[in-house]
Amino acid sequence: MVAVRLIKIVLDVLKPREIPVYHLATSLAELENVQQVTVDVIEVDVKTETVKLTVEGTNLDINDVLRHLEETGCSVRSIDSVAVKKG
Amino acid sequence: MEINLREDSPLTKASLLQGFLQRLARVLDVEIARRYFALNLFDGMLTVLGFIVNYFFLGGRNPSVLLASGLIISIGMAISGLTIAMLVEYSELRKELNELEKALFRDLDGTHIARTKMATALMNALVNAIAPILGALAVLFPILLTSIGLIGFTQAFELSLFLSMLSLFLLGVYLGKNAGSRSIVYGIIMVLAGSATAIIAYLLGAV
Repeated sequence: MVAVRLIKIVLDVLKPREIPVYHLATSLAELENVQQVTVDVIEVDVKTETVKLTVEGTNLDINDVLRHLEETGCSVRSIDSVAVKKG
Repeated sequence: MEINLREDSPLTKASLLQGFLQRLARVLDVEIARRYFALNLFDGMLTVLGFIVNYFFLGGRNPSVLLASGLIISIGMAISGLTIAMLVEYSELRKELNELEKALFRDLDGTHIARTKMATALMNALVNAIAPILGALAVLFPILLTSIGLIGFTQAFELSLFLSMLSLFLLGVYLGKNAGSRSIVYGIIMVLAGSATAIIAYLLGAV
């Protein structure tokens, strides 16, 4: 059976404004197999921000990413896109 | 959405959590600790300065009494500062978290943001407690020198007055710089407050 690797995830995330986007991005980039993180701010509210979070890597573990977001205090609203690679 | 978490995640690595917490701590509310520090350092210095001046002009010449009383006063202020700051900070923290939980539609207990807020509250309370002791120690230092026989009591009293005014001036300068305005004016206002305390303490002691 040929292994399938997760190489990109795009998430719709609601995060507290107190967590700066660059801190969120750099802390996610420290995860295993993560090569690139992009955070785009979609909407700004009084206490929260809606961001589009794109995580790219060689062999991502989606649970690691979700767990990290959970631990930092973010709410993951949906997984909008994923990309996988064979081999 | 439901998140299925894996227990053996490499994310449990302490370094990752600590790193994030440290970065976050740099962003959160250091301003409040700075404010508490200035307020209580000032409180500690003025209270002990007033006490020393009053004691001197009442005719007291025992450095041990001054040292013990000065320390007790500052410890009292520290305990009061710690208790009230803990209660105020915790109450504010809980309120902030409740509001944030409503905005995020989730419980934040155990998250980095909640822990960072708790650490900030604790840091603020500790600063609130330590600052008056430091202020008092700055003023009491010459009295310590006289109690071990290095200088005379009157000299120690004068040195204590000088150190108080210098510390107050420097605190004022620091606050002025922080505000980005004329630091000398801030320093002079602080010295005037110290002088007013010393004069009132003198009048109460001399009468």
